[in-house]
Amino acid sequence: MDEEALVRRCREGDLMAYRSLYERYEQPFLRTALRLLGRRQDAEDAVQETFLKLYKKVNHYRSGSNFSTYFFRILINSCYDILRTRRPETALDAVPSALGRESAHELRYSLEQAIAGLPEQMRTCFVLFAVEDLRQEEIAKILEISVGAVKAHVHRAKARLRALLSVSCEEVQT
Amino acid sequence: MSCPEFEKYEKGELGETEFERHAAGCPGCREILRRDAEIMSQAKELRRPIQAPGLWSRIEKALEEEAARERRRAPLLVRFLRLAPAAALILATAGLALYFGLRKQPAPSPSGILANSALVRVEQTEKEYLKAIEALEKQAQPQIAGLDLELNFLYRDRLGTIDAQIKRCREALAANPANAHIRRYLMAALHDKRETLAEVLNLKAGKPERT
Repeated sequence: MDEEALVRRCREGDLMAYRSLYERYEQPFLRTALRLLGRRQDAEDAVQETFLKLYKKVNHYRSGSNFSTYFFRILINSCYDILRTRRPETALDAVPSALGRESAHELRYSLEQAIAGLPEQMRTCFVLFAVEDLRQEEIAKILEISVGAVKAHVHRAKARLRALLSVSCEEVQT
Repeated sequence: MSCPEFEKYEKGELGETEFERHAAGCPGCREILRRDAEIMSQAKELRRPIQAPGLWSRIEKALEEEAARERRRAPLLVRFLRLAPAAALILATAGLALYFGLRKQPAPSPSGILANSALVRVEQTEKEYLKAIEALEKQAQPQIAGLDLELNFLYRDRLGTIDAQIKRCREALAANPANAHIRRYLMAALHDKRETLAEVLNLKAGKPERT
């Protein structure tokens, strides 16, 4: 069933339609939220909040516009809401520490940790583009910014990650 | 890295294509591009599945609670206004039916109540429609079983919902067989079922409905 039909059923309050949407979006949403928030529990809360907001706003969605973009925008805003309620330093504190902890890699930033250190919007652009494989035009619509701004964020993110990862490699070598 | 072209690239003054062209002849910049490609490939590896057992149950509970809250919150007037478009549609349909009924029949039956002869005709049509749908269902069932897990679930779920609607209509009609509105809902549900089954058969025949 196409998403427009599912949305119509959501408007009628059909929980099975929400369930079908959940099955489609569970993984990309959880992955994106985890990269933006760093903590599993927060990521799950963001996904839950996204569905609740969809339930409340589904009548505002205009049929014919891209539902995926609309739904992703709700998710990203839910993640930002959670980030705003946090102490500023916790975004980095919360990064999973299990990776890159063995032997010579002890000092090495994992890509995951390096991504968590990027500024909020740059991180969002990079995660949606590089991890979730979304087109830059789609990311621009989700974040309501220009395609040029998305390109610039992705470009700067790559430069920062390159620098962070090469510093960590040098630390390992010395 | 002291290459001026790289500095321009870093500032965004040089596009990716131009930089790639430059890098073909510059070992330092080639290394930059190699590392960028490595970062992008490592980023793809972060796409591993995340298990979140119990998340759907929590979402479902939250949605049910929100629905209950909404019902409690909505005052009588709002509830009436929400139903107003549907009520207007039913009234308009009933009005038209009454108008045409009056033109054709000397002794019209009250709106929404089917006369005995009309009821017999409706029931006959319904039976024929049901037979056709049953035949379609027989063809579609093995095909649904052969679909991949996601589509299988989706179609079973959708048909389950439609069947539940049909069941509710039948129960209501058992108490009030001449109610034309319930008949209309039943016919709409049967039509929906026929469309869904046809969709499955088209899907299997290589004409997927997804865009």
